[in-house]
Amino acid sequence: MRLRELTYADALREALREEMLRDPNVILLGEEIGVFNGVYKVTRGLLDEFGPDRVRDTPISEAAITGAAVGLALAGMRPVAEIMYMDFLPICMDQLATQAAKMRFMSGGQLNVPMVLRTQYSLGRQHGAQHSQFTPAWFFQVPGLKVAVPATPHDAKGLLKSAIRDPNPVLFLEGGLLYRTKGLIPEEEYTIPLGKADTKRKGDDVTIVGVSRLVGEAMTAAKTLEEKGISAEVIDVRTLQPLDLDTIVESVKRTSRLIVASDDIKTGGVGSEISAAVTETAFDYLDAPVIRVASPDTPIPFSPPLEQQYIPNADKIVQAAVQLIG
Amino acid sequence: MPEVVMPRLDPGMASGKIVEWLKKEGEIVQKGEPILVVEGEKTTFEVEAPESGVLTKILASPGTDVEVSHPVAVIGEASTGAQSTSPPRNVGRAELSQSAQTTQVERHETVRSERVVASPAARRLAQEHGVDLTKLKGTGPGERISREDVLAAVEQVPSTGVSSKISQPTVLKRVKLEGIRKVVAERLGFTARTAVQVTLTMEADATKLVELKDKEDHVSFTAFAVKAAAKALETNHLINSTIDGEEITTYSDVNVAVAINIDQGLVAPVVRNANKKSLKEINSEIEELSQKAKEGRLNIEELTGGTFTITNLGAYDIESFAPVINPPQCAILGLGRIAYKPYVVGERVSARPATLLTLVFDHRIVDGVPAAKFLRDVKSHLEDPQSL
Repeated sequence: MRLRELTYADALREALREEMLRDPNVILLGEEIGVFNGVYKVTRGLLDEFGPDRVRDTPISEAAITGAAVGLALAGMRPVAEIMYMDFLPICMDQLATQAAKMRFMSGGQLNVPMVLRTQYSLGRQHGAQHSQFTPAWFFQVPGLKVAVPATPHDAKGLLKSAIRDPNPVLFLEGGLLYRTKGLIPEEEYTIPLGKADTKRKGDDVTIVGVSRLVGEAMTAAKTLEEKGISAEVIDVRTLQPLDLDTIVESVKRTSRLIVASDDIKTGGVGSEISAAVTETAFDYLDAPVIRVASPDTPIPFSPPLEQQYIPNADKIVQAAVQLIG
Repeated sequence: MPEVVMPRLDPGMASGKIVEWLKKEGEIVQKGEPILVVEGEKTTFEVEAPESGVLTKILASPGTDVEVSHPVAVIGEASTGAQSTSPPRNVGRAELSQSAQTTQVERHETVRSERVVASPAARRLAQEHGVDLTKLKGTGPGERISREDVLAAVEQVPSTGVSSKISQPTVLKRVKLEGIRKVVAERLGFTARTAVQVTLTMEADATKLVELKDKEDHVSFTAFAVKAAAKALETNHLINSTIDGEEITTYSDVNVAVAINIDQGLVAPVVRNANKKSLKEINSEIEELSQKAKEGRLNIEELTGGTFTITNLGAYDIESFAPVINPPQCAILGLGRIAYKPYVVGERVSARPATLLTLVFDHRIVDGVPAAKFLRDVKSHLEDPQSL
């Protein structure tokens, strides 16, 4: 297998381009994605290549973008809509949670909504309380919607291709801080199934489940822990809906300890749900309480030093692991 | 009055060195306030006051090594001042604070209850390996007993020359000996340890019994045997007795216990004065007792006072067996199946229904000949069931 190095943003761009070449029904819409090539350059060059019929710049109305995507999907297209910041998802919520996610169920399978809503979170980039949030746990409450959280360029490409081909609406959550990270990607075409976690590192003493950006931090933490004689296993969930609980539980049964690391707010967050699910499933295998490494329960500070204090990182994961093992 | 004890900072720590006292004797301290600095093998920690009060006495000066869990100071109530001399009663554990750390992770409260602090994984493993958690010392945070602690204890079990590394059979489950199972285990274990059990076996011709049983519908073989044994016990008094330490008690009442198997185990309700009851009365009483046993409704009256016991495994095709005496009784009769067996008269062999009667008796109470006579009487009653 021939490999080459690509950034997370370019890997996403490849996925979009390949799917547009493969299927004429795949079209893109969103703010600044065409002429401006996308705020994060994920859609760079696609307007030139595919023309304005398939790469549509939209007005600044997230409700309209999402609603149009739902309509396009119902009419047989495969729209990939971009919402510039995850913070704007509340504006899309009716179209996304109430319409897109429920159509297939309510029509008894007569209607499908094969749309992808791409967005990103910018925690750690000093974008302030209204442009930094990571709120994936909201969507645990929206059955019918799939949620992907790719952590690496490789997974970003493979998961986005699967999301575009999926007959259901998929919320595709990209990491703003990840766009410029690099990784090896095969020349050949590949896809990654939605709903399958990936064990990024094997270990014996503690399982660290990472979400999005914190997968990389968990890998860094695992290296530090190794120097302290603690062997950490790192699992990347890759998707939150469906959640691959089997892989997590299998790991916890071996390590007996679990840390869930996610950038969202701790209370009622992704870590809370995974903690509860693992406790229900594998209680008798736990050797310590499940620990959530997450953001504090406050709005995200703009001040760079404060934000640095605020965001979860490898050090905090290391501290949690050391405390767990005692 | 709470003591401040040397905390365990890491699993391998045996003792810690007092670096510095942050408070002086007689000073008021607040719960959670750092009062001294301790050096473990790897790190230096501040130890917090477990309770608010007055630092009554410092027991270890800076530079000294103190074993883990040993007291380093006493905290008294603020009002009692520093002069209290009564021995400390409540031992509070000092809580640790690693002041340099600003982690988002919640600190676990040190558990103070009497409950054994063990992780779910440790509890599961302890049950699988039969390890007593109360005997272990936890090395996890808050002295929680961890998976590793249990596994270490399993490794240490002095094996019978067999290394614990040799794979043991996989445990399906472990059940604590309790309820009926415990009663059965204790009573029959007691018999096995104390009684001098001797077994006699005798064949009985069941031809007439089978004929009569066909006529007397619904009367069980057990009922016939209870009646036959009760009648024989009327004249063989010594068999109808119990033993208690140095004393043998012989009874005029003939109360025959009947062993009944239920889901929870074995019970032996009693047919009282069986010698004075008709066959049908005995039969219906056994049926009623069986029903009650299955429903768990037997009362103490029905379960006690037996002077002899009968147990029947004929329904399970058992030919003959030597049961264990139901203590403190003298003897028990085991019934095997009734089946056609060869019968030799002179030089001729014919077939007839027969059954094997097995009497197990306590030789401390009665000798072989009287026991044999009793069994022969039972046999003759069964062979002439009309007389019952």
